[in-house]
Amino acid sequence: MTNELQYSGETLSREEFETLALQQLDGLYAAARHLCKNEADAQDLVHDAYLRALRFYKRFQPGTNFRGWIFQLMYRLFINRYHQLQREREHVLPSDEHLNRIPDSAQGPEFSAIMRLEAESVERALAKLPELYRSVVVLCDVNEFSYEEIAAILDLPIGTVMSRLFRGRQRIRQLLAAEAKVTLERQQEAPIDINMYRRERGLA
Amino acid sequence: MECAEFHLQIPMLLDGALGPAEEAETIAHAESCPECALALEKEQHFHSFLRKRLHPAPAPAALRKLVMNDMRAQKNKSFWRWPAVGTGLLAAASIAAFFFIGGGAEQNQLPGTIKTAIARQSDDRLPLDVNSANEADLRAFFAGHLPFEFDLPKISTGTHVRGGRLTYLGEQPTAFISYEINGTPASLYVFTDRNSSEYVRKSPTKCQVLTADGTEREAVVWQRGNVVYSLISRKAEPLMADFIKDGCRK
Repeated sequence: MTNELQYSGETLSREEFETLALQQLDGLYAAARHLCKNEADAQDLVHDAYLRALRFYKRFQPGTNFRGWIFQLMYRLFINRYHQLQREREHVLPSDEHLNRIPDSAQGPEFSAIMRLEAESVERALAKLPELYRSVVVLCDVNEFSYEEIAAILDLPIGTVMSRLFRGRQRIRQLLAAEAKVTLERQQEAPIDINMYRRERGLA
Repeated sequence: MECAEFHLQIPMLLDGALGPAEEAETIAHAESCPECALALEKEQHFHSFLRKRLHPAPAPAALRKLVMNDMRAQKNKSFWRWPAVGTGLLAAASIAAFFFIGGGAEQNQLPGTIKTAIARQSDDRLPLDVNSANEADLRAFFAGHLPFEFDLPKISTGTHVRGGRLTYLGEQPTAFISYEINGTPASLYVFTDRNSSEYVRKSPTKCQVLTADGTEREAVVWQRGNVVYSLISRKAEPLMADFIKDGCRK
């Protein structure tokens, strides 16, 4: 995924840095939006990351992964400046064995209902994840980093990345299943609009 | 491969994290086991559903412009003629900008970075490190986090301290103190800069700040020694005047 973004020159000039950095803006913003959970903070975070990158770009080692470097820089900034992280660390998902299997609710009739949910529902579910899991899911499913890259960005063992990703996705699925169930129940309880019914079948 | 192992391999298969041999083995198992094939199909659906729904929206044009302006600004040679090169530069320059904004031709000479630094100062949404109106609590907190000392302004009637947190202007450690002036939020930023006297007056000076989103906010800036105080509020113009009248008097 990121090979084309690796820079192989001997030194990184200011112009080359700018070109590489601007290529990452959309991805950084997308990640920041999910990390900060609101647009204004996300824009601040990305902007801060660029200011910092501008300041320290000469520390980037050409030939290594620029995309990973700038994401790591932003993530560290997020940890340092946005202190909620420490509080969120306390809220770790339960380590029950049942999470190793897909919950029944997500395998049953709700599954197709989940598939009909819109992006807002998925974003809401993602936002409910503790940061530990959210950051891994975002880097994998939004920014499409490999496990190895995520491990490097977050400074985690690869096994931890895999387990957090698994558990984070499972939690999202559980949350979506719950939302899909409520939606289904509402649809079943809703009174039938006879005029709508007739119109749909050309009987009106 | 057994079914249990296959289930563990599914996420890695879908994320492209398996080697060629493992991938072939996993797919071969799915082809020979209808139940696992069904499980894989569902996982595949969910995997692509998740990525499709989380497909990133492009960064806002305003943010792109801001970043590009920063890059241009740092190339601006006149910027580096300013005496304060280093971590204090941005903070000092941001204060200088208070006086330039609205100042006709001078405003146009300001690098985008500086304007941005000002814009960020009005952000009062992050959680506070100290949730206390008690001056001693705030002093104790900042004493451990800042390389300088400062006096909290005395506050006038109707003004309430909500608390404070450590923040940064550029790389400059800065005290952020959150106030409510007659119910309207106001943000006080306190930091040091040895060159501030070139830009900041000792008496509180009111000026307008043009923020990144194009809105104007009221700001008041003053200094004591090397310590610079800047107070920003969204709509407390008359109230801020009162605050400063009493506030900066020591």
